[in-house]
Amino acid sequence: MQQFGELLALGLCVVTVLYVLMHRHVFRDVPTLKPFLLPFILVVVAFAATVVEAIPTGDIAQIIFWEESPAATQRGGWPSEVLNLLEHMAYAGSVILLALAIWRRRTAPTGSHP
Amino acid sequence: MIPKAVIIALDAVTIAFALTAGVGLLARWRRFNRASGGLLLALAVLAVAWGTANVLEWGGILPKADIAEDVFGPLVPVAWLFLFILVPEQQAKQRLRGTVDRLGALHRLATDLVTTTSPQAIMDEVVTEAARLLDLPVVAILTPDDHAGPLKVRASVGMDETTAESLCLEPNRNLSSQALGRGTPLQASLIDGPLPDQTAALVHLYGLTNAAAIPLLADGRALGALAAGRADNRRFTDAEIRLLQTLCAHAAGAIQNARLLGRVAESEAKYRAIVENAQAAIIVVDAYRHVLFWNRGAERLFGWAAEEVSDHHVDFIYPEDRRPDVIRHILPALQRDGTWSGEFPAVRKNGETFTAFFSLSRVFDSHGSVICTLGILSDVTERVRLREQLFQAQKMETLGTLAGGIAHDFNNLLTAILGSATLLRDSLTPGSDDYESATSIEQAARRGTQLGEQLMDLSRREPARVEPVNLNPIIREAVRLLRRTLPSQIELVTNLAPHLRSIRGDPGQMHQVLMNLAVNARDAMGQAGTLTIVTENVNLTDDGPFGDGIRPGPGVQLTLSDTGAGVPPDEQAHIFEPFVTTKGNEGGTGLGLSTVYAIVTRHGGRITLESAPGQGATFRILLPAG
Repeated sequence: MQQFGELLALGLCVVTVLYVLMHRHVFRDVPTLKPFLLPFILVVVAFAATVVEAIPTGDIAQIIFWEESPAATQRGGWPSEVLNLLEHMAYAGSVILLALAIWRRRTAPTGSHP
Repeated sequence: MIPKAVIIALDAVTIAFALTAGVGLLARWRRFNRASGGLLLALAVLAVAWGTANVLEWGGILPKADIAEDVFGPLVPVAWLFLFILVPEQQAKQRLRGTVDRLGALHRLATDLVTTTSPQAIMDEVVTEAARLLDLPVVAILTPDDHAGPLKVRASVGMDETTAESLCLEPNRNLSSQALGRGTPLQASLIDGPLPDQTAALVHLYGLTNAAAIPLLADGRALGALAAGRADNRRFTDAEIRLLQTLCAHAAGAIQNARLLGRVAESEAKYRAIVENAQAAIIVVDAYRHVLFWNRGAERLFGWAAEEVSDHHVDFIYPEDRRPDVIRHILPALQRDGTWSGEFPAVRKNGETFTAFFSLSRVFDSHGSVICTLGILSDVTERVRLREQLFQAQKMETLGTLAGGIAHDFNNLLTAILGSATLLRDSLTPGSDDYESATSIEQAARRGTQLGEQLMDLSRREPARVEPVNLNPIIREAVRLLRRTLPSQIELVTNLAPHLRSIRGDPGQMHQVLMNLAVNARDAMGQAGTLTIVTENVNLTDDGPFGDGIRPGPGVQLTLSDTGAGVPPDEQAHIFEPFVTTKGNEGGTGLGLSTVYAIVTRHGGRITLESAPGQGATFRILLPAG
């Protein structure tokens, strides 16, 4: 189950994205959430990169059920490294934007005043 | 090949910013609500853990086991999902709470403003609510003394009393004046530009960073401005400005209403005072003739207090036996013409009946429906009596003149008859039938002459002779004469004032007055009774029962009372008229009392009769002392 965590994370990210898309009118009404959307997208990108990195190395079943599959040993090469770099960059970017959003916040995100 | 160092550096950046985010969160915790703050902190912690695990694995310190991806990875989207679910929900709840709070405050304010009639109380409440709802340190309402005058603080929150009292903002040199002039809300940063001295002092004193001014508009006219200042370096949002505008609209309407109510109350108080203090009785009754209003004049006139008669049927002001006349005559006329005026009997609380002049008018609303009936009443009993007295005097004068004129002509004829009868009698033999006839003619002519002179007396305006006269000796002489002529069963009683004032007049005419009244009394009593003659000193007034025309001052009252049959009420009004007699065909000429009336009037006096059938009669004569 070497890639199970990444796949689960990506799945949850997809669920969250779907939730956001389904409730986009809510996000329009809550402007204080907007600064957090980009960090979230970068997180999704990071997890997507992790999973995509694993796909060429074997089929999905192997990724999920065999932790030490033969395909896992075949990982490597520049695409894998680029995707890996993308994962770390996206995650770092997400955290940077999150920190900025927190530090730039003037009032509570829920807003007690009109 | 991408060096591991790059990956480790990126992870270190992740750790550093995650820590920064965490520190920022903790440092600014009050700006986040609990749910969102907790989830953001969880994301920061996960990022630190994720980065640390990666650094350790990529740095070779820990074996490569993808702990970051497998352990922390799935938690990250979970935290994000909860953040996106909870934050809007929390915010919606908060917004709802804020909206309910504001609506509650506005409702409370609107209710208070409707019931508050004091503009000052309204302004105080508005500034208090504005400061509370928007968490503002300083809020004030400023109005000009006159249309273009400087603005002065009328109500404030957060401003000390001395500052509020001394603040006087010149027109067009500050935000409030500009908002007032333009009629639109304005806001400005107090940090960016130069400020007028007074404003700068305020800004410095309260540490203000932003200000907003909202005009108080009523019927398109600006009554003043609400000025709000904040110290958190934030602009006023559109929603905040709208809220302040709503408050100002409420306040302006309420202030306008309070001012109008004040004017109405002032006007109402003025007219109420006029009506209440009017000398005349003013009564207002509803369509069912129940008393709605009863002024002090009505209280004085009728003796009923307003509380005693309120909501009572107004018929109680009429004598019971005259109430049908009200329904038969007055109400139809009022319904037909809308007004009615005239004299009508009324009754006081103590049962006393008097004549009142009624001026009644119906009051209509704009649709033509009767709201009420207004009645203005005054006591005209005295006026009616004086009018009747004047009428009587005029009638007596006219009759006297007429009778005098006729008597003069008859006297001329009688003089010729008397002269001829005397000559004829002298030429005849005494004792003969012709002589007796001539004598009868002569006697009849003499009686006719005396009657003529009596009639001519009625038309005289002045006494024949004027000298100081004391009535007591005249009365004593008349009494001596009367004792010899009156039946023995008639008792003569005198009660004469020892120091009776003298009057100026004709003693002979005064004697005639006494004799005429005494003879009338004798005729009224028949063979038995009591005749009482009283004299006394009195002070004459022109508002007494003897009416006007009499000279106020010292005077004398002569009263003759008998115990005879009395005079019926319907005859009393005509008793002093010439040729009016109650003696039928038994010898009365009807000139006795009219002669008395003429003599008394000629002497500047007045005579009245008080009598009731079977209870005798009392003649009261008032004469001015001379």
